[in-house]
Amino acid sequence: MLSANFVIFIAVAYVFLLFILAYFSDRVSKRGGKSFLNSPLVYTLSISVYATSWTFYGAVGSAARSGLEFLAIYLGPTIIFVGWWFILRKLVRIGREQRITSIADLLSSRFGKSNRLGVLVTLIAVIGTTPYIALQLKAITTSIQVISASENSPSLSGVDDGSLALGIAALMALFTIFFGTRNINANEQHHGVVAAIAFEAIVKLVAFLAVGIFVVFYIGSGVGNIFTSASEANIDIYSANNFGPRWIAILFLSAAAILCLPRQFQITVVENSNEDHLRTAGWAFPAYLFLMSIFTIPIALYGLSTLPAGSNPDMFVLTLPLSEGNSLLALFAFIGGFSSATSMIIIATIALSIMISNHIVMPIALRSSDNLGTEDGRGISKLLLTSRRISIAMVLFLGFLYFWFAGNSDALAAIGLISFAGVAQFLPSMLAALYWREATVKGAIAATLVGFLVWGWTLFLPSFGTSSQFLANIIDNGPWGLSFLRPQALFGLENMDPLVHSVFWSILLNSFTLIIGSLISKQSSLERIQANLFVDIFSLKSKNQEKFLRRSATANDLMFVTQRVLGGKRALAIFDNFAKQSGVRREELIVTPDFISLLEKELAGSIGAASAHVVLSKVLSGGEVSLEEVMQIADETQQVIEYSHRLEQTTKKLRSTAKELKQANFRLRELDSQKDDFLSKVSHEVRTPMTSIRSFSEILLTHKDLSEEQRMKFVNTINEESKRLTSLLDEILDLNALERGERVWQNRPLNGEDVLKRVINICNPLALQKNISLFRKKIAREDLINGDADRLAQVFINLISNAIKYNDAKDPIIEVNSYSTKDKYIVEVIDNGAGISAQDADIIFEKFARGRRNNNGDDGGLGLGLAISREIVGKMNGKLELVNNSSKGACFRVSLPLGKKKSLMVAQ
Amino acid sequence: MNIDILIAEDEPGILESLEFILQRAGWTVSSVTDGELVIEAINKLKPKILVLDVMLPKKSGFEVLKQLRLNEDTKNLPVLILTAKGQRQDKRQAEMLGASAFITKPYANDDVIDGVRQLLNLVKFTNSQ
Amino acid sequence: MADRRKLENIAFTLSLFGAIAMVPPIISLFNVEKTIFGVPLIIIYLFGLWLFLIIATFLLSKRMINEDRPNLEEGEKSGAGNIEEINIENMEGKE
Repeated sequence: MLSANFVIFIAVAYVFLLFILAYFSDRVSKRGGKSFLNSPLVYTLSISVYATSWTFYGAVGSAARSGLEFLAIYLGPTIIFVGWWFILRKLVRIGREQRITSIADLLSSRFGKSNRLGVLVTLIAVIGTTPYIALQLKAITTSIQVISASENSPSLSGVDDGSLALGIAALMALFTIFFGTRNINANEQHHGVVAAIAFEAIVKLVAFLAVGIFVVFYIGSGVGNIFTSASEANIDIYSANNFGPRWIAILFLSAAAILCLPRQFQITVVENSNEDHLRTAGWAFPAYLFLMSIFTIPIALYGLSTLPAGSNPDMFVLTLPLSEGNSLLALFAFIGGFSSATSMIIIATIALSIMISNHIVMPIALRSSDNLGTEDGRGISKLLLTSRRISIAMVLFLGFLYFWFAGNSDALAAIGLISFAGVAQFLPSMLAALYWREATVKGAIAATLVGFLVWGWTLFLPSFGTSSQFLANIIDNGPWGLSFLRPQALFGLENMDPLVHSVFWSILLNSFTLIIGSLISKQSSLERIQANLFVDIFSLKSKNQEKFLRRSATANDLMFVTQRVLGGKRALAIFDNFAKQSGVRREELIVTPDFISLLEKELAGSIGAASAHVVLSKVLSGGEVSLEEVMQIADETQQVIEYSHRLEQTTKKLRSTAKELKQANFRLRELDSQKDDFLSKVSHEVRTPMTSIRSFSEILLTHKDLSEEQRMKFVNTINEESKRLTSLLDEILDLNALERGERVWQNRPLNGEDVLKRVINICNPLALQKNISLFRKKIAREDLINGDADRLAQVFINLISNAIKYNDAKDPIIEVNSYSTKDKYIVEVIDNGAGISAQDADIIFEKFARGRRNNNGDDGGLGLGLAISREIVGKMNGKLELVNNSSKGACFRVSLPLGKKKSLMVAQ
Repeated sequence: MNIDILIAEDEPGILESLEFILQRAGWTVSSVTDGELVIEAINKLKPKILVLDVMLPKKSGFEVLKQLRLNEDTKNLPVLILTAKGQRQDKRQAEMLGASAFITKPYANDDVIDGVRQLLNLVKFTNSQ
Repeated sequence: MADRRKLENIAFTLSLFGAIAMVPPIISLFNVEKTIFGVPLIIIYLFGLWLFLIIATFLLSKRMINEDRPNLEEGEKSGAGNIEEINIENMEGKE
C-alpha cells in the first residue's frame, strides 16, 4: 500500500509545505506583522528542536533496551528550564546585549573576543554535530525503508540508502540555504525558519501522541493492561534500572546539551526576540517534553510483548501501526519522525554555518585583505552569504559522508550521547563566562581543548572501534601498549560505563584546566572589560558601557564598512537613528565611542564579535595599529574616562569645600582685621594719655626748678590723664563683657520715664555749667519696659553728655523727648549743633569712632560710648539709631519695646 | 619770624609737655592742633624742623607729610614723626613718605630732645655746606 | 523588593529540589517493586515529580519580576537609567 516512492513523495511534499510556510512567515515578519511569530508559544515550540528523531524513534528503542534511562535525556533540560531565571535568562540577556550569533561567538566574545577560542569551539561543534546529522539521515532512511518495506519485500524498492540520504541532505541544504541565508540579518534571526520549526514541533508531537493513543487505547486497552500483560510476559524494563552513575551522567549531559548544543543555543538565545518568552518556555518546554515521553514506555512495552522477537525497537513507532494495518497512522508517524529529523538538521546546519563563516572564513578573509572592500562595494556581505551557503552544503555533505561510512556501525542512541558529551565540553567555559570574572582566555582555550581531546580519546574514538581492527587493539591495550591510556580505562579506571568514564574524565580535566589555567594566566584588558560586561550584565546598564577608541576615522569610513557588512539600507538606518538620537543630521555625525561600540555590536550581530572588532579596528586605526594595541587603547580610554569621571566628582567636591573654606577664611580674616583694628585703636587710645603722664612725670623728675604753679599744673594733667586712662580701660572691659555676653544681664520691668528723669537731674548741672539749656518737649506717660535701670541710665547719660560736649552752637539747646507708640517707648535726644556728617553717621557707632571734635580740649570722649550704648540697648531688645531730623543738629533715638504685663510676670 | 620747631599735635597734654621740654632745651617752638593748619604755619613761621603727630584731626600726619614732600620749598624739611600706634607698619609708611625720624608714644623726653637736636644739627650742617 | 528576592529563592530551591529528587538516594526510595493500578511506582514517581515541576514553574514564572529587563522601545528608560546616562554624558564631556 505504501510504496517507497509514495513515501518519498510525501516527504518531499512535506518539505515543500515547509518552504511555503517559511516563505510566508518571512514575508509576514518583514512587514513587521510579528504578533504571531513573536509569541512565546512559537518560541517554546521551536526550542523543542531538542526532540530529534533520536527522541521520536530512539526513545522507544532506548526504553525497550535500557528502561527508564531515556527519561534522563528529558529531565536534565527540565531542570535547566525550571531554573530559567538563573542561567537561561542571563544567557539570553547577554546574547541580546552583545549581539551574540552563536555559542562560539559567546565564548569568543567573553574571552576577549578571542578568535582562537572561536575557531576551537566551531571545530568541536562541527565534529560533535556532524555525526548527529548523520544520525538524522539514518533515521529518515531507515524509517522510509521500514514503512515501505513492510508491504512488499524487505529489500529496498528501487532506491538505495545512500542516494536517499544524499537526496534528503540536498533537499535540506536547499531549504536551509534558502531560508537561513536569505540575507545577513542584524541579529541572525530567521523568522521563516523558526516558524517552520515550530510547525514541525507540532507535527511531531501530534504524530507521537497519535501513535501513543492508538497503541494504548485502541490496541493495548489501557495503560494498566499494557503494564500487566508486559509483566505477565516477563518483560521488565524499569526495575533493572539502578539509577546509578550512568543515570546521573545522562542527566548532567542533557542539562549541559540544552545549553551547549549549537542548535539549542541558536534557537534559545540567538533567535529569542523577547526575554519574557522564557517565562513561558520555563514551564511549557518541560511540558512539551513531558507529553513527548508519556507514551514512550507503553509503546515500548506493547511492542516488546506483541511484535515478533528481533524487531527493531527503534522503529516500534512505525511498526506497531503497520502491524495493525493502519498505514495512514504509520505514514503520519513517519511524517512526525521526518519532522524531528529535518528540524534538527536545519537548525544545526544554520548554527554551524554561522559559526564557520564568522569564526573561520571571516578572520581569514580579513587577514588576507588589507582593504575591506572588493570593487562592488558589498564585499563582506557577499562573502558572508557565500561562505554560509558553502558551509551549509559542506556540513550536510559531511553529515552524509559520516552516514555513508559509519551509518551501520552503531545504534542511534549511542551517537546522540556521544554528541552530547562532545558539546558538554563547552559547559565549564560557558558557566565561567557567565559567572566567573577571573576566567581567562588561555584557561578557556586550554580547558576546552583538554576536554575535547579527552572526549575524543575516551568516547568518540571508541565509537569507531568495531569498524577497525587497529582501533579495537588500542581500545583493548592502549596506544603503544601504554595500558594507562586505554580509552575506556584511562589511568586505570576500569569497570566503568564508557560514557560515565568519559564524562567524568573529560569534564573533570576540563574544569581543572580552566580553573588552574585561569589562575596562572593573566587577563588582557579587553578580556577584563568583556568579563565585567558578561558577569555584571544585570547590574550594568549595558548601553554605553563599552568604550572604544576614537581615532581619525570619519563617519564616512565607518559608513563604508557598515554598508559592506550589513547592506546599504540597514547601514543607513543605523546611522540615521544614531544621528537622530544625537540630534544632528547624518552628514554631521561625529564618531563617538558610543557610536563605535554600537556599530561594533551591530556588526557583531552579523559577523561575530571577534571579526567585528577586527573590522572596526582596521578602519579606526587605518590598518596600521595592531589589534593588541587597539585593545590596549580601548582599555586605557575606558580607564581614563572612568578616572576622569571620578576625578571630576572629587574636584567638584573639593571645589565646594574650597569655596566654604574661602568663605570661612574670609570671615576669619575680616574678624582678624577687626581685631587688629580694635587693638590698634586701643593701643592709640591708651598710649595717648600715657604719653602725657610719662612726659610730665619725667619733667617733674628732671626739672627741679619748676614753679609751684607749673608743678601743680603738670601734676594735675598727670592726674587727669590717669583718670582718663582708667575710664578708658573700664569702658573697654565693659564693652568686651557686653559683646561676649559675659555679664549677667537681667531685664526687669521698669519705668523708662523714671530712669530718664533721674538722668536729666544728673545732667542738668553739667548743662548749666556750659550754658546749655536742657529742656523736654514731649513727656511719655509712665510705661513699663523690660530692661536694666542702671544700664539704661548709662545710655541716656552718654547721649545727653555727648550732646552737651559736642554742641558748639552759639545758643546751644538740647531737647529730650519721650513718647510711646503702640508697642514702643521712645526717647530722643536732639541738639542744635553742627550735626553729624553723612560720612560720620556711618561710623559713629563703631568703637573709637569720633565724630566732630571740639577744640576746647576738654575731651572726655573716648569713642566707645556710643558703641557701648548701642550694645546695651540691643540687650534690652531695643534700638539706638541716628535719625534724620528736621533740625540742623543730631538726633539720637532710643526705642525700646513696651513690656506686656503677662510677659513681665513670666520674665520674673 | 623764623622759629626752630613747629609742633603739630592735637592732644593738649602732650602738646604742653612737648612745648615745655623743647623750650627748656633752648629752642623756639610754635604749635598747631590740626592737620590743615600745618602747611600754612610752615609757610608763615618757616620752622627748621617739624614735629608731626600722625593722628591729627582733619588731615592725618601722613597726608601732611606727603604734601610737604611734594612741595619744592618744604621738600627737604626735616620731619619727626610721632605716633601712638607704635606699629611697624606705621614706621615703614613714615619712612616711605620721607620722614626724617620716628618716635613712638609714650616717649622719653630725652629721646625727643635728642631726635630734634640731631635734625637741627643736620639742618645746620646742610646750610653750612 | 523583598518579594522579588523571595521568589528568586523559591525558584532556585525548586530547581535544586528537582535535581536532588531525580538522583539517588531519593530516587532509590521509589525504585521498588510496587505498582499503582498496574503502573510501577517509579514511573508514577518520575512523571509525578516532572508534572509537579512543570506546574510549580508555571505558577512561579508568572510572578517573577524581571525588573532590570531592558525596555524594548528606545528612549523609554527608568529613572535610574537616566541618571546613569547623565553621568556618562558628563564623562564624555571630559574627554
